[in-house]
Amino acid sequence: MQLQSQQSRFESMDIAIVAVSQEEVDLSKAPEMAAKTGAEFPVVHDLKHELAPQFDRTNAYFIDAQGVVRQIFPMSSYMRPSMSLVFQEIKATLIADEKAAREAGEG
Amino acid sequence: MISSLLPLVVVALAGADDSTFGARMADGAIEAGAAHTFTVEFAPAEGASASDAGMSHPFLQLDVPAGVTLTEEPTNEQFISVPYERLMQARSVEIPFVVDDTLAEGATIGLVLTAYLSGDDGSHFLRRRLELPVTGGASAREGDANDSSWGPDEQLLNIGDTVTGFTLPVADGVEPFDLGTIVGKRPLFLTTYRAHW
Repeated sequence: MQLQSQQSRFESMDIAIVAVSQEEVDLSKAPEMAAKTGAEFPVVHDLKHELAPQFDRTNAYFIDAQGVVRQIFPMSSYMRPSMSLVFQEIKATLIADEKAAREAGEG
Repeated sequence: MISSLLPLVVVALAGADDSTFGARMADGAIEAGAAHTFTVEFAPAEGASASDAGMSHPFLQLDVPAGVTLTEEPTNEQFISVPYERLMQARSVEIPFVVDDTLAEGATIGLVLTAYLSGDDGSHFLRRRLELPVTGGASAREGDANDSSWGPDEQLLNIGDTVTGFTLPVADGVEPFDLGTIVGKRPLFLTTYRAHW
């Protein structure tokens, strides 16, 4: 629920959100479940755990516009951060990137 | 313990954050079969809080070289595999270990701290690695946190890795989702943890 509350902030910086579920699910009931959570971003289902070797299910990943992993946030229940804090960290990274690009352009 | 350790803590954490993270090996020669200890300390900056950021305590992972065995008794902390992963529930912890003859000269114990902190000057996400030489009286030096795995498997993505696209189903009768429509074109926040959405 926390992520949805921050969704507009992510959108304001043109950051896409994708949630990957690795739980067993009946795909015919997926729309109903998505409606229940109120998620307005894509919720995809990794039924065969194809992503499991690369993505730890207790982490969240910020991937930049070049496709490079820039930040990894532990999300397991004993150290769950506020999504507001996570957004601030991502925003700081993007602002630093913009500044570096601007300085490189000026140089 | 804290007063003896602090002067040796050299790693101040990033930016305006005055939090400190350090470690020190107990004095005395390291001998195979004998009981030894090292001390790890994390002191959040004054006014900074881990719990306000949503996390109960900073999290410490220990990357132990061949020849070193940690001997701390496991606790009942859920999700934590003591002795190799633990919450920093106290500012300073003493960790017992033994070594055997396979310990290489110059070997270090990697200490990876992960913390979310909030304070007057905003919030910080910290991830730092120290390298503590397995030598009596040694202090830790700063290491590269990106050398540390982000999970139990070495194949897991790390900072700096490039993500390839994937296509996964959304629901019956709905076109599968192709991550390739986003990756390399727009920034992406990808979460695999259900409780957050």
